[in-house]
Amino acid sequence: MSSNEMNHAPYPLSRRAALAACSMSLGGLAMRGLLHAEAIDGQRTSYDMKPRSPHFRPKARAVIQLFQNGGPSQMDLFDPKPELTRQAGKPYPGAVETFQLGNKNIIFPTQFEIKPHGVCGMNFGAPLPHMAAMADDWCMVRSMYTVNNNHPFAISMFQSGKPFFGYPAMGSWITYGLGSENQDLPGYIVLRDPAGYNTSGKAVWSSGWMPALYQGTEFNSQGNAVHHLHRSSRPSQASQASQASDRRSMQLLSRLNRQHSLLHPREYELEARIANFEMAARMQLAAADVLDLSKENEETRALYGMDNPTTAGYGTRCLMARRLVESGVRYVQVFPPLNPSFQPWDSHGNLKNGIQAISDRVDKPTAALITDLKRRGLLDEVIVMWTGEFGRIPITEGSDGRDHNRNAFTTLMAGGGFKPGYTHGATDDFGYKAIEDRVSVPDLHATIFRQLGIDHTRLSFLNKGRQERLTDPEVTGARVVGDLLV
Amino acid sequence: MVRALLVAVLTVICWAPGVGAEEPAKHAQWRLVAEQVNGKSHRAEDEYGYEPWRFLRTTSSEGPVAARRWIRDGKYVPLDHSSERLFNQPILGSIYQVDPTWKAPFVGGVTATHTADVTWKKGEVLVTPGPEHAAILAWQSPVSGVLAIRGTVDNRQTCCGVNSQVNWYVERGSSPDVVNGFKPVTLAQGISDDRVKQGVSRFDVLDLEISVGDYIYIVVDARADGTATPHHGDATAVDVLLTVSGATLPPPPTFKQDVLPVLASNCLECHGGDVREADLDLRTVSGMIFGGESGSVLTPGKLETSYLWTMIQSGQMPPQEAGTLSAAEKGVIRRWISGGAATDEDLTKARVREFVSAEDREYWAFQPPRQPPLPAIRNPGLATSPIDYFLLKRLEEKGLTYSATASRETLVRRLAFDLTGLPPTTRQVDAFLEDTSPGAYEKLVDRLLASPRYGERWGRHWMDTVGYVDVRLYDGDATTLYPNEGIWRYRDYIIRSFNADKRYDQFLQEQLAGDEMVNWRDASEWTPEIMEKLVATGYLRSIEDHTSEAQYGIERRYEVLFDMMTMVSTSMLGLTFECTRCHNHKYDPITQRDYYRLMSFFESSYNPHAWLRPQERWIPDVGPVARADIDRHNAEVDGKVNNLQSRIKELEKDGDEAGQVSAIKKTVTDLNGSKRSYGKIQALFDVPNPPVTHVFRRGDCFKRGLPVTPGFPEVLTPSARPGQQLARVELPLPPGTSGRRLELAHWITSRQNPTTARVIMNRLWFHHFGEGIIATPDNIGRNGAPPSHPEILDWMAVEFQQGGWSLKKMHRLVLTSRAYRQTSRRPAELTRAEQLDPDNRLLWRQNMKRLESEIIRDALLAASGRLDLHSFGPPVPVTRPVSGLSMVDAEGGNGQNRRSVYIFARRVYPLKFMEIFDSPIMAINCSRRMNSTTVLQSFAQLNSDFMIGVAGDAARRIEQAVGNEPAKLVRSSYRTILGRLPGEEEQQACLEFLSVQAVGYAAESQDEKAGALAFADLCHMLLCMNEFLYVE
Repeated sequence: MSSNEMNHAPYPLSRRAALAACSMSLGGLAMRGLLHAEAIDGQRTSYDMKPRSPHFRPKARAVIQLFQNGGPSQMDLFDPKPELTRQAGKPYPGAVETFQLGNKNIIFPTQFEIKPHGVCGMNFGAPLPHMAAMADDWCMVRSMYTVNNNHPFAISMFQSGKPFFGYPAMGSWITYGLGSENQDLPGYIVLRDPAGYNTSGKAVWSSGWMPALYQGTEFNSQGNAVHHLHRSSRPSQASQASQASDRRSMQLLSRLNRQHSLLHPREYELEARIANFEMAARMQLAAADVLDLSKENEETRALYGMDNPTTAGYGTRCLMARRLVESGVRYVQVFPPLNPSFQPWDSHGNLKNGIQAISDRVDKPTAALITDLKRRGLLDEVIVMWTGEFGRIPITEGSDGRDHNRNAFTTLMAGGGFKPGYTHGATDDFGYKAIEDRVSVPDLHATIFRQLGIDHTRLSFLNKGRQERLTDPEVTGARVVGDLLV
Repeated sequence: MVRALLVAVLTVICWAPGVGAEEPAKHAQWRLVAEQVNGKSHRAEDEYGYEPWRFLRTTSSEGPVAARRWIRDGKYVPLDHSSERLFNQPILGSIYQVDPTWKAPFVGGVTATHTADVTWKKGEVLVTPGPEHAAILAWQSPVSGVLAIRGTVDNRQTCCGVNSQVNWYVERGSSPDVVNGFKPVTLAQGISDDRVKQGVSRFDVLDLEISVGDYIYIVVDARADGTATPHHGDATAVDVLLTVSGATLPPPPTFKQDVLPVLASNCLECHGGDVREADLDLRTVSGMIFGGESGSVLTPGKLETSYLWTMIQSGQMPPQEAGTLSAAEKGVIRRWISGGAATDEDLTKARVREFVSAEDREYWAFQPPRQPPLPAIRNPGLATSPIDYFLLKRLEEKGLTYSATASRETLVRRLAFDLTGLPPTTRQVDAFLEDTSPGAYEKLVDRLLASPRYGERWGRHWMDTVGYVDVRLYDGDATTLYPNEGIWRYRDYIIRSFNADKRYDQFLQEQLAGDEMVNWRDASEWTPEIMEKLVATGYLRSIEDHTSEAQYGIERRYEVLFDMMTMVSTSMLGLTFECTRCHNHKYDPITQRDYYRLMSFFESSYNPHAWLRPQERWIPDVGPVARADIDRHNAEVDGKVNNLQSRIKELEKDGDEAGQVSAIKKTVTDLNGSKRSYGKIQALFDVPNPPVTHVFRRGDCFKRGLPVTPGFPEVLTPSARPGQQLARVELPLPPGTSGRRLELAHWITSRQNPTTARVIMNRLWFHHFGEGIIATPDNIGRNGAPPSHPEILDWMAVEFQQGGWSLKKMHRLVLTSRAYRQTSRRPAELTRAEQLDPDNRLLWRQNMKRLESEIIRDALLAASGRLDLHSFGPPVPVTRPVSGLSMVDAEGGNGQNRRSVYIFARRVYPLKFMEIFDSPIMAINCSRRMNSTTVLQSFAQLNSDFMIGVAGDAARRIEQAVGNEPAKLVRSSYRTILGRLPGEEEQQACLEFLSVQAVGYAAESQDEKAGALAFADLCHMLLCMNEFLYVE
C-alpha cells in the first residue's frame, strides 16, 4: 500500500483532529454565535458545554446524585427479611462471599424495624422517617447488583461503569453528550463536605481521558465556591476600588490578547481563552448569585434542616444542588458528611449506631430536596438518585456488623419520569442476592441515559482506538429497564 | 519418608487403553503423588484418561473456637474462587516465605524442594487445613472391583504449641453435597503430630467392594482438643495408593458413536451449523482442529493443549445457563482426546487456523523499516535537512510550499521551550540576535541540546509514557500519601540518560531488564553500573499496585500485570494491546495469545504465585557490605544508647545529685544522630519458579484457557508460521534470574523489530511539530491514526538505528530543517494551502503549541526570577489540604521553586495549579496530554496565590534592574516575560494602563505604592497573556 493511498484511507479523523487541534471552550463558541443546539452525534470540531439535542425526546433535563458511599445496608433500611430475625444467630445455609477477614457464618438479624409507608406501601427502616414520608415519590430498586465488593472499585463501577479508575464519570458522559443549559456555570458540579474527600476522592468525578472540561467541578459550600474564584487576599466581595482596578487590568489583558490574536488568524483556541476571561467575570457573579442561600426563606432553610447542626451541612449541599439544577446545571453530585466517617455507610461494626448517626444527617435534607423540587415543579424534569456502591451481607462481622455485598443492594430514584411509588425486584430470603428482575449498574446507567434522551448504545468517545461507551453494552449486556419508568 | 514408605513400586499398568471391547484388568492403580506431579498434569488426570482426584473442603464448623468440633456430616465442597489461588495450581515450596497472606485450606503439589523451618520435597502433595475448614482429598472410583487403600499423613509443622496437630480420617461415601451432606463411613482415623516426633501416620484399608462413582475421602483437619485454640495451616504431606483388583474399564470412545452425541446435545446449538459462536464449528474433527477465535481447540492425544477439554474440564463450557456435562459425558470426551481422538473422518487436509496472514504482515508499520532514497524535488534550495526533501515533495505535489521562516525572536523562544522547557533568558536572546554568523542557528541548537535542562524537558516526556509517579498504590485519598520511597532515583536515571544521550536501545534494555544485565546478587558492593542498572528497572515499578493489603486475592496481582502490559506496549511497542487481554484484536492482527505470551515475559518477576507486595519489592541503595557495616554501626550505637538509658534510669532513681542526667541525655541524642541509614531502590527482579502462563478467557484470571510460553507478537516476527518465534538469542546471564525480560529487551531493540524506532521517532516529531506523523503516539498499528508521512518515519527510524540510536542527532536533523523553522502564522486571508490542508498535515507551516502544565509553572518561575535549577534527588513535597488546593510545601524545605519535574508526582492529585492546566491523572500512563481550555484556568491565572506571587516577584525584579521609569519598565517587562520588545501600540497601551491604574491606586490612598502596584498588575496581565502560554 503506498503512502498516498493510506493518506486517503477512510478513518474517523474528526475526533482525533479535534484532539490535535485542542479544545475550544464554550466561550469561544458563544462568541461565534453557535449557541443553538447541535445534534448529540454531530461531528465535533471542538469540545464545549453548549446544549445538544439528544437522541430521543428527553423526560428529564438534569440529575442530582446523592451518593451514599460505604454501602448502605439494604436489609436494615429498605428490604425487610423476616428470615434474618427468625434465624438470627444460626449458621447461614450456604456460602457467603466476604471481603473482610472477621466474618462468622452466623445470621445477623435486622437491626431496625422496616415497615410500609405511603399509599404504595414502600418499605423504609426506622432511621429514615423523612425519606419514608416521601414513599409515594420514590422508585425503589431492590435488585441492584455490582461486580466488585471493595469500595474503590465498586465506586468506580457505579460512577464510571468500569471497576477501575481512569474512566469518565457518568456526569462527564452526560455533559459531554448534552452540554449544559447554563453557560456561566460548569455543567457538572460536585458538592462535598468542606471537611474533606470521601472514598476515592476526586477520582470519582474524573473525566478520565475526556477533556477536563467534562470533569466534575468542586463547588464549596464555604469560602470560594470554586477554586480561585476570588483572590485569597480578597475573600469575596472586593472593594469598589479594587473591582475597578481589576476591570482595568482585564481590559488591558483583553486588548493585548486581541492584538496577539490578530497575528494568528483562525487559532480559535486563542479566542476561546479571551472569552474565558470574560466568562470568569460573569461566573464570579453567577456563582455568588446561585449559591447565595440567604435568598431562601426561613421555611425552606428549616425544611432542609439548616437550623440544626446535625443536618445543616448536608442540608446546605442539598439546597445548593436544587439551586444549581434550577439555574440549568446538568449534573450535580452530592456527597455525604465525613462524620461519622469518610465512608459513612460502611457498617463493619457497631452497625446500629453507625446507621443511625449517618441517617440522622442525611434523611431530612434528602426528603427536603424531593419536597422542594416537587413543589417547584422541578421533580418532573430532574432525576434524583440516592444510592451506595454496594450493599451488605446477611451474616455477622465481628459481633455487630455486616461486610460488603456486591450481589444485592438498594437504589432509590425519584423524578425525571421514574415510576413513583414503585418497588422493583427482589432479593433472596436473606437479602444476600438479587434474584428477581435484577438490575446491573450499567442497566441503571442506560435507564438514566434513556430519560435524558441519550441512547446508551450510541453515545461514544474514541479512546486508544476503541469507541468507548459508558455502558459498554456488548460486554455488560446493559439494557434500559422499562419497568422503572412511567 | 513418605515416598520411601509407599514405594510399593508402581505396578506396570496391566490394562492398555484403545484395545477393543470391555476387558477385565487384574488390577489398576492410582497413586496421588505420582499422578499429581509426574508432569502429566495438575488436573489430576490418571493413566487411563480418567480424572478421579478432587480437592474439597468442609462448608463450615460450628461452636466456639476453643471447643471446636469439625462438622463430619459430608458437606464437602470443591475449593472454588474464594480459595482459587490454591486450587489446581502448582504450589511453590516457599509460599509461606513469600506470602503469609495465603489462606489455608489448600492442597497442591510442591514444585520446588524447600528446606527451612518446614521441609518438603519437590513432588510431594501438601494438604493444609484451615481455621474453619478441613481440607479434603477425594478420589472417585472410575471402575468397579475390590479396593485396597494404603497411605500416609505426615504433619511437618513443628511450631505452635499443643494444638499443632492434625486429625485425619479416611472415609467412604457418595458424591460431595454442599447442601444435604451425607454420613460418610469412617474407614480409618488418627492424629498426626510432628511435635512429638510421631508425625507420620499410616493407614491400610483392604478388601473394600467398590463401584463406579464411589468416593473415598482423605480428610485433614486442624485439631482441637478443647484445651487451646487449634493451630491451622499445618503443612501436611499426604500420599495415597489405591489399588482396584478385578477392575473393568470401558472401551475407548469413538467420535461418531460416543463424542458427537454429547456435543450435539450440549454444544452444537452455539458452535455448529448456522450459529458459530467464537467462530467455532464443533460438528467435525477437522472443524475442531481448525478452531475458533482462540485458535485450534483440539490436539489429538494431548489434553493439555486441547482447548475443548480445558473449557469443559474447568466448567467454563457449556455455560452455566445451558446446563452442565455429567461426569460420564466429560469422561467420554477426555478419554477420546487422550486416546488420540479416533475418527473415520479424513484429516489429511485438516489445518489449524492462522491469525496472521501474509497480508497482515505486509502492513508497512509491521515490516522492519527500510530507508527510502531522498526524493527529487523542484526546489532543493529550500531544503536544509534530509527531512525537507520528503516534506517538500508532498507539498509540491499539491502545488504548495513552505511558509516563510519565523523571526529570530520566535526561533530562539521555540527552540528553548522545545529543548529545555524554559523560556530563553534575555541574555540568550540577545546573544542569538547579535550572532549573525552563518552557523548561528545550528550553534544555538547544539548549546541547548548540551544544556542539563534538556534531560529535564525530554525526561518529562518519557515520564509521561511510563506513567511516572512518586506514590505507590492508587492514591485515592487526597490527604494521605503512600510514597514509593526511592523511586525518584529512576526519575534521575531518566534525566541523566537523556542528558548523556545514552543509546536509546540501551536505555530501553536497562529499563526492561537492567537487573538481568549485571550480577548484583553476588556483588558485595554496588558499583555505579549495578546501581544504574537496578534503578533503571523502576520503569516497571510505577504501576498501580493494590496488593499491599491482605484482603486482595490473586486477581489484584494480575491487575498489576495487565496495567504493566498496557504501559509497556504503548510506551515501547506503540501498539494498543489492551483489547487483546479479552479477545483477539478487531483491527490489528494481534491475538489474545500474543497478549499472554508477552505477559509471560514478566511473570518471572511479577509472579502472581510468588508475589512480592509493593512494600517488599525493593533493594537497598547500598551493597551488602556497606549495608552490613551500617547495620553493625547502628547496632553498636543502639547498644551504647541502651546502656546510657539504663544509667539515666538508675541516676534518676537515685536523685541525680551530680546533675549528670542532662549531659548523658545529650550524649544519647548525639549518638542517635550518628546513626546511618540506607535508602531504597525500587527495582524489578526475578523471584524463583516462574508460573505457567495461561490465556484467560475474557481476560478473567479465574477462567484459564490454554497455557502459553513467553513469545513476541506473531505479526511483528518474521516467521509466517504461527507460534514460531525468533531464534532465541543466547545471552550471558547472571545467576538467579530467568533472562526472560532480557530476551524481551533484546527483541524490542532488535533492528528486526518494526515498531520500536518508529515509535520514538514519531514522538520526537510530535514534540517538535505539535503533531505526530502518526497522531496516536501509543498506537502506530493499523488501528492507530493513519500516518501523514510514513516515508519520513521510515527514513528517520533507519537513520536513528544506523546512527547509534542517538536521540540528539535526530533532534538536530529535525531542528535544522526548514520545515521546523517556518512561521506558525497564517495570513489573514485563506491561502490555497489552508484550503487544501486545513489541518496542516503536510506541514506547510509550523503548529502553534500550548505549553504543558509543568512548563507553564517553570516559565512563570523563570519570569519571576526565583526559579531554582538544582537537579535530582528526593521529590519536593506538596501539601495535601482537604480543600484539594495543593501547593508546593514551603515548610518542607527550600525546594519550592524547583522545576516541576522534581515536584512530588501524585497519581490522582497533581499540584492543583498544574492539574488545572491538564497534568494527567496517571491511571496507567499518558500517551498524549489533553489540552483543555477551561474557565478554571482563567481563574487560576487571575487569582491564584501562585500567580499573584510570581507577578509581584517579576515586577520587583524588573524595577530593581531598570528603575521606575514607565517606558523602561514596559520594555523590560516585555523582554523578561515575553522575550521580545513591545510594539508601538502595545507600548502605548501599557503606558496608559500604568498611569490610569496608578491614579486609581493613589485614590485608594496608597500613594507611595501606587506605581509599584500598577506595575505588578501589568506584569500579572502579561503573564496571563495567550502569548505567554503558547509557543509559535
